[in-house]
Amino acid sequence: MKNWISILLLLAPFVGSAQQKSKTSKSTPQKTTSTKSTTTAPASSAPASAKSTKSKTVDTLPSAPKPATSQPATKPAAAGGDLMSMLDEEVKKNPETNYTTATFKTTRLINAHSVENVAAGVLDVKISHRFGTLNSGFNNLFGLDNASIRIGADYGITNWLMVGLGRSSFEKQYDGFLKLKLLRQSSGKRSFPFTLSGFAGIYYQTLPWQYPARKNYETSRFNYVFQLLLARKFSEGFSLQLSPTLTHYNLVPLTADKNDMLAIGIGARQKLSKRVSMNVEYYYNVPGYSLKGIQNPLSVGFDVETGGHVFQFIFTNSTGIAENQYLTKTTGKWSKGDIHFGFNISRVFTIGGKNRMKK
Amino acid sequence: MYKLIVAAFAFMTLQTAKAQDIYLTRTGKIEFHAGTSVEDVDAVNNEVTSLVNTKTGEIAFNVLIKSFHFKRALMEEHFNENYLESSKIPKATFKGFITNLSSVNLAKDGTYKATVDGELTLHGVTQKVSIPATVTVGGGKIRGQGSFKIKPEDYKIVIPSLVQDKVAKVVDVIVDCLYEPKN
Repeated sequence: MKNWISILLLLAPFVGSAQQKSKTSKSTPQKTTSTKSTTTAPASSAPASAKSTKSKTVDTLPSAPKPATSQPATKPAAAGGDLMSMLDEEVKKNPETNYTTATFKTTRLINAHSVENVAAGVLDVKISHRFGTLNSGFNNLFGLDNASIRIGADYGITNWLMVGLGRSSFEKQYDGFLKLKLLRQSSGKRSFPFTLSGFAGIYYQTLPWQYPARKNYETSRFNYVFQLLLARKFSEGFSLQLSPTLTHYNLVPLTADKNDMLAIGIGARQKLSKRVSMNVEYYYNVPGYSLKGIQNPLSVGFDVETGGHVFQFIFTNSTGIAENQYLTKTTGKWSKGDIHFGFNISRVFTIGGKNRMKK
Repeated sequence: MYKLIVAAFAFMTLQTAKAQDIYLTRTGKIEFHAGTSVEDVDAVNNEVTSLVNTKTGEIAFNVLIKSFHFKRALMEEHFNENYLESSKIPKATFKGFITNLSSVNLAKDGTYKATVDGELTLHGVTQKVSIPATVTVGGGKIRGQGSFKIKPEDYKIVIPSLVQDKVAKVVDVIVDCLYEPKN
């Protein structure tokens, strides 16, 4: 009978530790490998205390076994790994969806839009400048004497909807747009491969009529641009965007021109350092669906980010800055040297809205 | 004979109390203040996961960097992209223990002063920290509050010279977690 007691008492610590692992209060003693890994401390001290109480258990409940207090002070450091692995298990139970951020540094890739939106309550003031063409010679200081500018501001209504207004000196045009973030790239619990945004812009030209004698309609001053922006952040350093575009002119220059023009854009950015990146943007005007004599706009740029500003330094063959001008009014050719040097400055102000810290 | 069996089973049930020694929180709060007189740089993380072993006094924290939220979206983006590089190193961890566990009775209601010593791994760099803390036990829950200071440069967090006067060289960190028994 004494053998029976000693077997029971020796089995007890294994039962206790097995129950701790399996998390159910009623489990039969499982002699699985899990008991060996984590609870070396109680197992080592419990049999010792079991043996000491063996002589006393006839009368009293064993009060001695409190394995933890018999541990020396250095034990927690060694067993810290166990708590950490338990913590890692807990964290894995609640996987999070990781939404990709900062696919591009700002809301414009170079001239045309990127998938980035301005955050809610944030005002982004944009000043864009294009000098004259490099091939205008030394007299014109290689184009620095001329300028085409756009002043504008973008505002984030929500994190996925932004609005913008601006005015360009080229053709004295006012523009407004809405950009909507439709799908976000994500990884983790819910994985999605790309970010999709929709863009709609309206453009109003205020130059005097070319033929004032005939009947001119106010609606002829309006152009529209609709874009789908599809981008993927492939790595921390590289992002790629595709932008199919529809441009609509209410009034076209020649009767042979179509009112609706199609183009497909491709842009990429490669980070050169934490705060500097190089961007390339090209729009291909689909033949048969573009204005006559128009060149495809190609731009190369560098983004430099400093605190609240993003500076974009640009080389492009396009004089116009607003989307409709950039896409459908580019007449310059890179091969002829019709290259404009220019820059965009973006300055972010947080003005509106909710206290994000409480999120 | 009967007493022996009772004693043996009582012994076994005492061992099962070990499961009740672990306390957990998934909504722990950690905030930090890294601003200067020029600019406020404050963020809070309300999704900290942490475990406490009340028998051994061990504590472990798992903090996701992307869960720190700032008032300004651009500041949060720069924090993740440029300063803490959270896409490379997504989390910070802490493992340590209560050094004066004997004077802190986690089974009894009350307020105790404690010191938590351990290692903080932030931005991939591990440093020893010692945190003075207040432990409040009540209603079956344990609340741990503590604050300490760290230097970004100790963790290889680079602050560019352009914004040197906007980000503090010593950052205040405040921890506030309410633990419940893990089931």
